[in-house]
Amino acid sequence: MIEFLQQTVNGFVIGSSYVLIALGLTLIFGMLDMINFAHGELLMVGAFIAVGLASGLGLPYLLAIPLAMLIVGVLGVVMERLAFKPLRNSDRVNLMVSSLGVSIILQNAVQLIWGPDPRNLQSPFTNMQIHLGGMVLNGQRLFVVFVAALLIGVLYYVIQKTKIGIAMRACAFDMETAKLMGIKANRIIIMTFAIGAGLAASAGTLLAPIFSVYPTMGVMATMKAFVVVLLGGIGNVTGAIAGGLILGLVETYAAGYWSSEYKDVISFVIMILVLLFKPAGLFGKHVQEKV
Amino acid sequence: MNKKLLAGLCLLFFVAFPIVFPDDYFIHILVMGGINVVLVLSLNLISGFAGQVSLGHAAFFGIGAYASAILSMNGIPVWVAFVLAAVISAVSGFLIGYPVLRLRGHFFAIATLGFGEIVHLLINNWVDVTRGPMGLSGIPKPEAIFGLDFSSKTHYYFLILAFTVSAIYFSTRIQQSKMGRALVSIRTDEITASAMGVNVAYYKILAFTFSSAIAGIAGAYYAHFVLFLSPETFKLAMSINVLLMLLIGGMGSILGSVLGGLFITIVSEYLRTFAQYQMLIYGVLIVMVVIFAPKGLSGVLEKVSGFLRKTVFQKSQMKGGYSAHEPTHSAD
Repeated sequence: MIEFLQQTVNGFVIGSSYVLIALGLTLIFGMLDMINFAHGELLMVGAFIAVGLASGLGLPYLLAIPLAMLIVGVLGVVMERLAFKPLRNSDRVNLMVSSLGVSIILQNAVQLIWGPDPRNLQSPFTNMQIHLGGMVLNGQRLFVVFVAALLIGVLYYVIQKTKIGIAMRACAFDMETAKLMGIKANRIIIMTFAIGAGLAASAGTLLAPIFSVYPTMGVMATMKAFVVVLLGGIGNVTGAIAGGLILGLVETYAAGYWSSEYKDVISFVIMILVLLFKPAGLFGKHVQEKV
Repeated sequence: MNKKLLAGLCLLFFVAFPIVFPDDYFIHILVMGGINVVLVLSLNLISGFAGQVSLGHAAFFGIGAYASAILSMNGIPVWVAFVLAAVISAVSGFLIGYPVLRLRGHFFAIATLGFGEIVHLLINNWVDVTRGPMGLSGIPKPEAIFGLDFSSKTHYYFLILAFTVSAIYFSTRIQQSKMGRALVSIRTDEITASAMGVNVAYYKILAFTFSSAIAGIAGAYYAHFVLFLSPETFKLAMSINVLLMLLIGGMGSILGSVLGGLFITIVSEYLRTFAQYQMLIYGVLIVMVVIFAPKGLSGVLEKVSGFLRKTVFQKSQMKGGYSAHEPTHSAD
């Protein structure tokens, strides 16, 4: 029982980071109908920037998180301007390939700057242990869940209640009509990229003290984010939150009770099954074909 | 007629190349280029002709490579293993394609990506059969045939040249057949195609099965050429690389597939001299090609030849002569 609870907490840690990565991806997927392969690289760059700020400049970990989010947010906007905006009216395949190019650029730029070796990020919570009814909980893991919940809550509020959020949903629903209603679509797209990139970076900085940081860590993150987005339904924020937590839990249980080698196979099998039997996602109503 | 002449000259060039320049390094690059060209041609069947972008092509390359390697290591002649590898890849292509081809666009791309990863993870973890991360070594060379005993790279070169020419011929025949026109109609508009009586599911699965079989043959050749297989080769990066070759050459174009495969092989070899900047420059190149030449190299070629026809050739015709034909005459 205690082991089960421990696995559950671990599942929530991984799951909430999946949510943070998938939110930006699903917003952009829904808005521009593009698969952004460079999204996981934003998580990786965020983690490296946090390492640079914390161990290079000696900034405290808690300050490195928002700074890394900010810098990566700007990077997300630059990426959109240079590599995606020129292709907005072109074939969707070209957008996808362009994002593949960007992900290769980011991986190798980081490798040139910081080298290929894995790095560690020091966090004040790493050595903290909390005893709770026989369970031993790691401080950093709890911190991940806490910050993720906070960020997800803020984003959820922004999207549901504020003007910007309503404009974002309008653009995702129908870009042309939103433009006709006076929404400055370009500005909303920039905003979405900045928010998505910042959230991905936050996941990178939160996970960095638990796992190590290396230039190719973004690839798996991208693929896991795809699974989450498809589980939850494209463009569906609530779905992404639920999908991320489900995937995190399923993976952790699979690794704990069956085989850690095959846990990634399970997530892809789930993804393919969902695609086949419920292509709109577990929480979507129906597939909307964009013409 | 002109096109056939040009193709013949190209073939002559590639046959003569290793005889005129017996340089092991160049021949090695051309062999790798040939493998890539066959792979790109096979991806072109499903992604170029039928418009279904696959991100899991490395899986079929890997299945073919491992199938042929394991079979031949268990005493089956390499040539038989080649055929069996093609059959096994085709069957797995059919089994994967059958459910997945119901999906369209992004969904198809992501589902194939998932299958590619599953195959990679299986190769990596099924240690009893594939020896997992240790890799397979001791793969036999093909048995001697037609005076080729595969003791030198040149012999391998002629074999891949034969495979490449067959793949080009096969692709051309498909493109010109009823199947080719059906696939193009599916790419253009699936719903209209099915309304016009095209059996969309049938043609898609057929194209996917052919595509997997050819990729499997390329994989089998690769296994008996490098004589060592590692799961690292058959990762997502490889599927992406093949797709990039197709895109840079020109989606849906056979000439483009050949150009893209050769171009990227040679460019990435050349970029090696920049060592650590290699992949960075590669990434920048990809973004620039997509933005500035969205139809790939074959699109650029078409534009250039269209421009030449308009300006140079028309002018010379106005003079009354047929000087436009002269370059081809002087070429042979």
